[in-house]
Amino acid sequence: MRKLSIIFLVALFIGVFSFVQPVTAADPIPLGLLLPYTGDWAWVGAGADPGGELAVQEINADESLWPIGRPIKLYKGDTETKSKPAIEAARKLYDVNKVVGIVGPSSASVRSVIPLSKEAGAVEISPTAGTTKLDVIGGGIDGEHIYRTVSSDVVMTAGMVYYAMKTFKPKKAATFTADTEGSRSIYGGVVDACKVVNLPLVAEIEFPTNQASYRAELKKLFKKKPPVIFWEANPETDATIFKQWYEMGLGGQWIGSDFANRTSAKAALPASEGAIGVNPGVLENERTKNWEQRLNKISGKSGVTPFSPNTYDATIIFALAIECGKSASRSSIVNNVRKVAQPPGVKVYNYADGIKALRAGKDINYEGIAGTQDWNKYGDPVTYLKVEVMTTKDPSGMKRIGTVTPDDITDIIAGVLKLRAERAKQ
Amino acid sequence: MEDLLGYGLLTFATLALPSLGLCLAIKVTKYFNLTYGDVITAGAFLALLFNLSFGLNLVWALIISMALTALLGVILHKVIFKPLMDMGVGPLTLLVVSLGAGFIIRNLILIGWGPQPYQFAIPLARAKHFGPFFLTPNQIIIILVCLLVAAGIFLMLRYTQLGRLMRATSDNPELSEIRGISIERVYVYTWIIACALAAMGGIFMGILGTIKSGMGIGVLVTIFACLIVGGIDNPYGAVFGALIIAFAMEATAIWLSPPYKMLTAYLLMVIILLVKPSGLLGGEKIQWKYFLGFLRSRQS
Repeated sequence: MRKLSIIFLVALFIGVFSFVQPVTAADPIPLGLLLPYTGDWAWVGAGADPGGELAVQEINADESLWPIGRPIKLYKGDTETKSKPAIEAARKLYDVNKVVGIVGPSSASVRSVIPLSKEAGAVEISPTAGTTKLDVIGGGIDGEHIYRTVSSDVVMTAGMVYYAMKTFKPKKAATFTADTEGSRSIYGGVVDACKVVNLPLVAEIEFPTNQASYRAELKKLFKKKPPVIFWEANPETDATIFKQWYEMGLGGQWIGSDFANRTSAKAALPASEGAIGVNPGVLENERTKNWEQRLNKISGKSGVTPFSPNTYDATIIFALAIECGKSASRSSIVNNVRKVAQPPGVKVYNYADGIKALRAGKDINYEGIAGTQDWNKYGDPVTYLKVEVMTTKDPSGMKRIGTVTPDDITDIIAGVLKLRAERAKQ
Repeated sequence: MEDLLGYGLLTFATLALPSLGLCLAIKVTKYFNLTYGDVITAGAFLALLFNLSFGLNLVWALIISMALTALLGVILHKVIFKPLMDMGVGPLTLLVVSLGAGFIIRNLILIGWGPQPYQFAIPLARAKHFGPFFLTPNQIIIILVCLLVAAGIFLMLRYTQLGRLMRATSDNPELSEIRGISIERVYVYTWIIACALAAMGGIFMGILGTIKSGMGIGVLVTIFACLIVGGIDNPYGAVFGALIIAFAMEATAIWLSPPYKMLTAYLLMVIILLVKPSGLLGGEKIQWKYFLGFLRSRQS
C-alpha cells in the first residue's frame, strides 16, 4: 500500500510539473490576430494578414532584437465577419492561447470584442475598423483599451468628399450605400462632410447587399442626375450594381471608400471602369517602396494589400510596448502602448531602431507605414489616404492616381467633428 | 410603370424556371428538397466553367450545363434520396438530409471557385427601348426564353406520355404503381427536368447579375415564397407566384424603399398561408399536406 502511495505521489508530482511549465526566456510571446478571414469581408482578412506576418517575421529575424528576449508568435482567429464567431474566436485567443493582446478585428465585430478585452485587461488594436462608432470610445477611457492604426471613417469620408470637390467640382451629389454597419458609418461620414463643404445631396439610397437586381435602386438614385455618387457595398454587390448601371447608361462619377479595392475591381470591371476609391494607403516614397517589396514576398502578390500597412503597424506597436514595459503582461502593455507611438519621443521608422532606442533609455514615437500613428484621446490616428481608379488597363484592376494627406482634410474633419459635437449636445 | 414592367419581368425570368422545377420535384416526390438552391448554383458554375475556362459560347455552355446539372440531380436522387425513401424515412428526415447535401455542394463550389463573384464572358451592352421596355438585347432574350421554356413544360405535362405519368404519380403513387407505372423512372425524369430548369435559372441569374457560391441558397427562400403564393403543387401556380413575387418586390423597391423588397416577398407568403393556404392557384388545402407530413413524421 505504501509503495502504491509513493508511486501515486511521484506520478502526481510529474504530472503537475509537466503541465505547469515555467515561462522560459525564449518562450514565444503569444499575440492574437483576429480578422474576418471568411464571410462578406473575407477580402479584409486576406489583405490585412500579410501585414501581421511581415511584422512578426521582422521582429523575430534578429534574436538580439527580440522584445524582452522572446520572439512573437501569432495566433489567428476568424471573425467570419460576424459578431458571435468573433466573440468565440476572441475568447479562445484570450483563454486558450493566452494572447497578450489582439490585433483586430474589423468594424463588423469590433464592438462585440471590446468587453472581452476589457475583462481580460488587454489591449486591442484594430487595423481595419474605420467605424465611427469607435470615435468616442477607447484609448483607455473607461478601461477600454481599444486603439486603431486605421483612421476613423470620418477621415476617409472627408477624403472622399475633398477629392470630389477638388477634382470634379460638383454642384450636387448622392449617396448609395449598403444597409450594413460599415456602410452606414461611411454614409454618416459622407453626409456630414458634404454639409461642411456645402455640397447638397439629391438622393440618399440605402440597399440590401447580394441582391440579383439593383435596377430600381439605380433608377431612383439617378432621378435628379447627380454628377458624383459616393458609394459603399461589397465586391459581390458592386459587380451587380456596376453591370446594371452600365446597361442602364446612367453616367455619373462613382467615388468609393476602402471597399473600392482590387477585389471589388476584379469583380466589377469592365463595367466599373473609372470608378474611384479613396482609402487608407501609404505615402509613395523610398521607405514604403522597400516595405512593399518585403510585403510582396510574404503575400505572393504585387502591390499593397488592403489594411496590410495598418496590421503591420499594430503588430510592431505591440512588440515595442512589450519592450518598453520590460514585460509581456497584459497590464504592462496597457501602460506602455501609448508611450511608444506618441510624441514627444524620438521618431523611429522601423522596429529595429525602436528597440535600440528603447534599450538606450530613450522615449520613442513610432512612425508607421500607414501613418504617424499618433493617437488622439480615443486612440484614433489620422492616416494617409490613397486615391485609386478602377481600370482594365492595370493588371491589378486599380491604378493609383493621387494621395490625400491629413493636412488636406484637416478643415473638413474639424467641421464634421464640430457638427457631431453640436448634434450630441442637442 | 415602364420601369416596373421591365424590372419585374427580369426578376420574374430569374425566379420562374427554378420555381417551376422545384414545384415539379415537390409535386412528384412529395418532400421539400433544400439541395435545390445549391443545384441552381452548381448549374451556373458549370456553365461558367465551360464559358470561361473552355471558352465555349454561352449557348453551348448553357446546354452542357443543363445536361450535367440534370445528371447531378439524378446522382443525388439515386445515391442519397432514393435509398432513404426505400428505407421509409419521413419527409422531415429527407428535408434535413437535403440541407446537408446542399451544404456539401456549396462548400465544394467554394473550394473550387472561392467566395468571389464571377461574370460570364459576354460583352457589356447598353439598354435600348423595345416597345414599353428599356432593356438590353440579352435581357429580352432571357425573358422570351423563360416564357417559351415554361410554356414547353406546360405542354409537356398536358400532352405527352411523360407528363401524364408525372401527373398520375403525383396524384396517387400507389395506384400508379399497381397500374404498372415505374415510379422510380418518373422520379428520375422529374429530377432531370427540375435540375435542368434550376441550371437555366442559375445561368439567367448569372447573365443578369453575377455568379457566386451562395447565390442559389439565397434565392431559395424567394422561390419558396413563389410556390406558396402560387400554389405549391401547381406548376401554373409556381410560375404565377413568381410573377406576383417579382412584381411585388420591384414595386416595393421603386415606390417604397429598396431594403423592404424581400420583406414584401415574405409578407405575401405569410398572408397567403393565412388567408388561402392552398395558394392562389392551388386546389384544395394542398399545401398543408406537406406540413402535415412533417408533423406526422415528427410524431412517428
